[in-house]
Amino acid sequence: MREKRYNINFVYILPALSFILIFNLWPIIWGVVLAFMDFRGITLTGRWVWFENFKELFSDERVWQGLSISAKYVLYSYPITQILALISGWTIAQLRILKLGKLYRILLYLPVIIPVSAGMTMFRALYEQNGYLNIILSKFGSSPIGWLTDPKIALYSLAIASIWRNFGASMFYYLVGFYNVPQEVKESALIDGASLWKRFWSIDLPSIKNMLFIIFIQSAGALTGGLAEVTALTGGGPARATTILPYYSAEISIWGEQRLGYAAAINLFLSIFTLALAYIVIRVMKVEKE
Amino acid sequence: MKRYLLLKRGEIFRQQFTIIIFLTIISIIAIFPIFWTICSSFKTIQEIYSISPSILPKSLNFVNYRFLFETSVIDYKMAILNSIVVSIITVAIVVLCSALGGYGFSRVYFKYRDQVFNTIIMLQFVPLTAGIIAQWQIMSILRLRDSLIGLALLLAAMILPSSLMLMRQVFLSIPTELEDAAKIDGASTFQLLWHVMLPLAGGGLILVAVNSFLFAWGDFIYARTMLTLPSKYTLPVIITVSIPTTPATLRVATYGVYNAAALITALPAIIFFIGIQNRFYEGAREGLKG
Repeated sequence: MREKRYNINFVYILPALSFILIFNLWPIIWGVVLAFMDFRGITLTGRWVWFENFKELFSDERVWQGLSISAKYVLYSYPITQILALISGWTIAQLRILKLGKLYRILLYLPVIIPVSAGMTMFRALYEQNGYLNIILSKFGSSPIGWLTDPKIALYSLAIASIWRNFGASMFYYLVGFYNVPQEVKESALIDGASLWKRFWSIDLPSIKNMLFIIFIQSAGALTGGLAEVTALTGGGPARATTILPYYSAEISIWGEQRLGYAAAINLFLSIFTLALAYIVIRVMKVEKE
Repeated sequence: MKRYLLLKRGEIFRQQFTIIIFLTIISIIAIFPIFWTICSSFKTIQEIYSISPSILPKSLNFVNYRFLFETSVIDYKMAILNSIVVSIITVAIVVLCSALGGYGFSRVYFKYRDQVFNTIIMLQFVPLTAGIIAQWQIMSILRLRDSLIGLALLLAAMILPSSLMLMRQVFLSIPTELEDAAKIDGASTFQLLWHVMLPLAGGGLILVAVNSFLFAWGDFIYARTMLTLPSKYTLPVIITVSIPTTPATLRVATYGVYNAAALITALPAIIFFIGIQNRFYEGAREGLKG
């Protein structure tokens, strides 16, 4: 190949590559190495402890507590987020007045575009002791609820805020998928006079099934999420009720005792756990396809 | 013959009406927290804490906004400035690096080009938790932790993979005839990029710029972990940390104030998003097709 001589062309990607290498790719690799070391604070030297961190992790009650809170958080928020996103994406794609479709997709995407901490601050105002939600409750004669102060309720409050914030992003993907359903397919359905419901189940949904497949796999990945929402809305409280595992690892390292090695081990454990779960999801779905 | 007219007009009207009702309800839920925040930001303390508060403020009262810019307890002005600095640096780096890099990955050849590109693409799917501990450590060692420039470098590295992907797609969509003509005239690859390609890729660059602005302006978790000096706090950080640390006597005053602050944080993001709305969807439609 004639072009192979031009290896100087490499310079075009050099600026981008150097940023990505130093601040993005290297930290991911170093994170794995850190998990096998004891690193405290901002010293340059750590000590190899090999599997000590993992041994400690398996007997650390707070890790399992964090994992179960993470799982609950995903369970409360992820399915509703996806169902809501799927239905709204599909209905917007069905609208015949295109201007209206444009308006709805802006409105539903606003919670995503608003900085997460601003969104959570807004929810904090709603959840206040004399916030709007409690005002409504009092109108129905109910006593106020400690949305963010009652340990039994805080995780649900967090899940609601998280659904509000995240469903627009998923809606966007569904909407793009539905927009891309070939015109011929849509028209053939109309010729058959298929009802709205039937069109959804037998034409539109199957045509995005690859996307649905990805969504199911991502449900496992959702376990690693929520750090920003928790930090901005609840700070892990009350009484550790919303301390998801990623928050716990940040709490004992960056914001606390700076046990970097141990925190990295927790995150590595979470990543491996997530990948294993994703693998199971893929296997199960393949079996069902056959 | 268009047989789908067989589907009765009344039927279509009824379907569309149902869809519109559904989407309107969802939209109201989606924007209600924003609406409530706007209203609260114009309320006086007495209005917020009255026994029967109303949704709408009695009058447009700017006392919260004035407090925001005059208070010395929390330096909101500094935070706004910090956010602007971080956003501008991030956008500048990302636009420059992704214009060069996107060109490098699409129109010129060098060894291992596609392998490098595929690695960068995969970085997008690595969860934030996998790198953040190591990132914190690396930023500390490089003495970039309490620096706005440092934060901007980190943010640029995190948003660069998707920006590179987008710019590569943009360059690939430009017809090769133009390039060939310039090559015959003896233009170097850099001249090609500067005189032929970049003017044609303007739309893509705007999308990359707005995208990276939204990311940098809205970033919460990286700013919250990397910045510890209150004088370096960006807006998304200051609106969440200011509330618990505010003295109790001032907290009453800050209820409406933090709504105002959340709104100021959200507003630029909303404006920029609505500005590129159409391009956003068209870009995604094309991108997901390919």
